[in-house]
Amino acid sequence: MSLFTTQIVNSLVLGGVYALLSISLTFLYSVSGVLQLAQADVMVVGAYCGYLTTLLVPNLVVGVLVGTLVTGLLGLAIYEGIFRWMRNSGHLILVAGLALSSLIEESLKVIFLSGHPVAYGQRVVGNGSSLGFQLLLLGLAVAIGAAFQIFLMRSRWGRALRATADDHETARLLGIPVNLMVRLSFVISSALAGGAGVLLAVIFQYITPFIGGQIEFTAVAVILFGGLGSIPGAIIGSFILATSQVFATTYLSSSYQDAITFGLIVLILVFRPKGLFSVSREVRA
Amino acid sequence: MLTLQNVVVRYGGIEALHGVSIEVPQSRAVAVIGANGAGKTTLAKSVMGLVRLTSGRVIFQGSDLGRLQTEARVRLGIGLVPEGRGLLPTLTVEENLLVGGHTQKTEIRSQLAHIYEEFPMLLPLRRRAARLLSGGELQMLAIGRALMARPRLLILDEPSMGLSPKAAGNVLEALQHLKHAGTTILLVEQNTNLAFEIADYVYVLETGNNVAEGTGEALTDSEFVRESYLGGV
Repeated sequence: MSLFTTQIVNSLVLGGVYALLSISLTFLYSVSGVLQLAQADVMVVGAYCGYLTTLLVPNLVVGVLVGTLVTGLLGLAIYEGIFRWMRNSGHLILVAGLALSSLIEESLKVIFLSGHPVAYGQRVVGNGSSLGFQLLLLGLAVAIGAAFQIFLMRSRWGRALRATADDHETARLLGIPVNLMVRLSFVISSALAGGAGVLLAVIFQYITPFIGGQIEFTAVAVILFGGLGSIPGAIIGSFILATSQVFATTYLSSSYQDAITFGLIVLILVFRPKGLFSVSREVRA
Repeated sequence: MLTLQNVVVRYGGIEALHGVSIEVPQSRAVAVIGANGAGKTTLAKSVMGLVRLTSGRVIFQGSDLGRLQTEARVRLGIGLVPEGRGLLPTLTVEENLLVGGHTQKTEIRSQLAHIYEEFPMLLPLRRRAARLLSGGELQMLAIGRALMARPRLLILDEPSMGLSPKAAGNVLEALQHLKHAGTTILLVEQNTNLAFEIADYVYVLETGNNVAEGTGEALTDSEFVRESYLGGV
């Protein structure tokens, strides 16, 4: 496979994982109004859960399942412990997210060898860079995303979540338990982030508690690019940013990776502050 | 079926309702009319638990609703078509209807078919996003969506607001059909003519006070109501 083709595959895989994290962030924001800045750290928790699981059962799918389950519960704890008490707290919600991010990062440092990187991919999948393995990762990312989308579009509770995202008061008037929907959005979005974390750690082939900080800005750039609350925007933004990062690293230098991310944030904020695919919740008539 | 007893609602330092009492008997249509700022929407919201009562009671089918959550009131059988329709713009017409039946665990599809029979204009629009509908279509959707939950009491807050005369006529027709089918209706309206056409009994609100009440005919005979709400005719 040529270098170019390899990088296209790498871009798709990385884009798929970014998409899961960005979808989780933008979905949570739509339903609860919370831009949860510790979501990437939840993702790292998922990565560690997957790592610990694969020490016992060397199977990536099992690792992803455990990662999503544990982080789903973590999402519930985060809601009940912090954000439930911060309704209508404005910018303090962002501060709480940053504080939570530090708390998770420092806790992981304490638990896992002062934060030294732990090798991941090799023991689970052998040669982690093979095409078959890359396609497996992409397939898992697509499967998780598709399952989420089908749940949102086809199920009674998915529709109730989307109704809550559109308007809390109207949702209440239809008998939808809005507080439960917000709680559920924390569980689902954290589980999505956890699943993404397992896949990302396998792509990087290592985990440290600090990778959350690097990824967080990427995810925020993606959802600003795609438009807050827009799932299609998050998906398209993820693939564009991942491709830019992969090709910049290959053909220029890895130091351009962050420059591209931050450059994109600046461009979006200046020229299209609502993002490329912002969701219209205006009624025409 | 519904009784409001001396309902007082205060927002901050401002009292929006000063001890309003109304009665809505089963299978009847009752209207509350009044100008902007009279407290009509506050009254509708107080029945749904969207605003907290400062004092007074809301009694539905013999039970004091107290501080019952809005969702629980919907499950008891009260539906509100809110002012401004309260549509869910990113959902399609059919998804709006289906989500309207969220409290119904069975027979949602048959109820959906029934709503399409009642409001046939919605059927060809079922895959269209709600935000793309006209005002009249939105109002029909809002009423149809509230009916998906099979409410025992349907409250409508300004259903004719912002509609063309033709669309308002369609709303009137739909409400008359509902009334004849035995649905209990509480209509909160600024459009006095529409209210008098539908309602068996009418209350007049003015700056949070119940200033007059009676049948449409009796109120039409009242000089005060004629001067204030019927343009002096």
